[in-house]
Amino acid sequence: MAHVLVADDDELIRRTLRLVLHEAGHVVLEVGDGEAALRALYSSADRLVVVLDLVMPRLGGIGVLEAVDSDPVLARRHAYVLTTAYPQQLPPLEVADMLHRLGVPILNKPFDMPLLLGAINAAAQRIGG
Amino acid sequence: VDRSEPDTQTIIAREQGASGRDCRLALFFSALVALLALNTLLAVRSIQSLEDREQAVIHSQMVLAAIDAVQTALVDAETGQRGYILTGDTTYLAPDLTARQTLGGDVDALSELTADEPAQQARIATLKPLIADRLTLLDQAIQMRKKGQTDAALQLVASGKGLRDMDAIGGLLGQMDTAEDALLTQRSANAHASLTQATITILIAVMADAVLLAAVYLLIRRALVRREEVARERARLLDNEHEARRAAEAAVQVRDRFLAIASHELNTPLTTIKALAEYLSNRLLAVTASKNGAEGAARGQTEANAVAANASESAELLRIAVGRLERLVSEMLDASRIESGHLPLRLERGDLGALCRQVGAEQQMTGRDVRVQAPEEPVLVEMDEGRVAQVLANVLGNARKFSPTDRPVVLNLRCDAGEAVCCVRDEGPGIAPDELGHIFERYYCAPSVAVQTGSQMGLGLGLYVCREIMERQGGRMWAESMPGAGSRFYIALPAAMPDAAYVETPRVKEGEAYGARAGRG
Repeated sequence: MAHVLVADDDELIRRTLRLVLHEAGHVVLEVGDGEAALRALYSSADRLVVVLDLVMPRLGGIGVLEAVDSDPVLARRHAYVLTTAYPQQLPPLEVADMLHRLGVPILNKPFDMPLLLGAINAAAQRIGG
Repeated sequence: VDRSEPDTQTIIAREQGASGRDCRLALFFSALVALLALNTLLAVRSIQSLEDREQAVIHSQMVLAAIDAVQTALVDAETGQRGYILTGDTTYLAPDLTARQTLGGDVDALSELTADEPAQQARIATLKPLIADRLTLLDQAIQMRKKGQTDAALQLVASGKGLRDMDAIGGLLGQMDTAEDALLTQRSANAHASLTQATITILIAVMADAVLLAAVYLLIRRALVRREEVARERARLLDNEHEARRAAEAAVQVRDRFLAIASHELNTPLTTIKALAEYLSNRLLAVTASKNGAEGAARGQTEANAVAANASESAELLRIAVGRLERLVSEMLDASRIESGHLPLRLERGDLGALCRQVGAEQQMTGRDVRVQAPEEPVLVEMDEGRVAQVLANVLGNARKFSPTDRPVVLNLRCDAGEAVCCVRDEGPGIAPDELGHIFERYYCAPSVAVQTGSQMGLGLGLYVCREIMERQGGRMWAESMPGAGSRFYIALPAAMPDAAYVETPRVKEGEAYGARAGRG
């Protein structure tokens, strides 16, 4: 069981993940954009597995990860999984470096649920959650 | 997409055409120089002919003068002889002597001048012995007088022989004079004719030269103008080529962007469908697999309960996801139909007020405050109700999507100057002026909309399709907005003429309205 923060601007995705992840035994929190996600990361009493959407209003997934990358506490405390519905857009090299450094997997929508659950479980193990 | 090739070929063809023209121009100039030379030649020939004829006139005048000289010399000789015979004064003999000395030369000169006139030559041949006789007779009388035989000399004079000789000579000279005079008249006429001809020839030549020079001037001018036109045309073609290239590049960018957004828009509902399908199938498999034994049955019941607990949420999510896919497909289909000109519309008389209330009621089911302000009495228009409902739903959906959830969205219907005008008003952030002009363009997604909605930006087809639907029914669609002051979207249809036969507003059947709630832009 992990505390999973779903950060996605699309309500349909949030509701779907809430249902499926809840059924898989996780505690699910939701936010609709990157800024809300960052606030949740700072304020959460629990270590979180964050499922981050790449494109969101105000602050996207990459923006959140850049903030995380510059804050060693956030980088260590929580674990991150990036999702995108733009599979044809490869991240720039420096972003790819950052994702590697932070150990962030990228999942393309529509993803296989076992893959997402596996990634969440792996992340949860990494932060000992 | 290389459109430059035919254009370049066109330019080359034109340049070849220009070199062909240069060649023709050279030929023309050669012909022109030849014509100028011919003109000059004709003028010179005319002048030469004139000169020749003038010479002939002068020649005749010289002949006449020579005839006159012969006659004068003879008269002088005769006058001198008579003066001497009568007076004995030798000073009278001076003219006689002079005449004798010059006469031979005068006759020879006359003979020479008339060498080409056989008739005159014949007369001269007759004249010469007569003159010699006359001179001899004159000399005889003078000699007699010198010897003192004055009477004999007078007798000789009075004998009349000299008079007859002089008459004969005078007659001949008169004939010669008449003949030469006729010749002179003819030659003068010829000279005059030549003068006229030369004048006309030169005038014509000068005029022809002037015309030719004018033609040359026009040709050169035309060639220069043509050259300028070719240069301008070439610049225009290059501009077009650049423009076409830019358009092609822009089209490729639009296409790439559309494909990226389309795949995103399709992937999101697919994520839900795929996730829930896997979830439901795993749960149902678990239920089926644990049918055996009491323990299994208990576990199966637990699984079944879990599925049942989530059934309504799953169904709702699947319905939303399928609705989105349906909407995307129908938008793309509509856009494709519009582009190919096959968007079928079934126009019937209907009550736009009733339609507004119906669509408003549907929108209220989303839980948002959607207010409809429409007249109680029917607002009759000719429309395809399903399509107008689609447009209203789209615009109301946009208004809901782009305005705060606690603020109302208002649909107002009024009749204005023969038009039924629907206005959908929201209290959202509004649209920037530079974006407002583009929102009805195909594939256009306002950048600020992307900022507001993130990944849910839509295909950029919704408003394009809506406007096309309205315009193809004879209606209009437009928008007004100010950043920070919300947006107003208007759709208008011409009001139908009141019809006595029309009794009741036909109701829009359930499910006939298209459920399009497309993204703005």
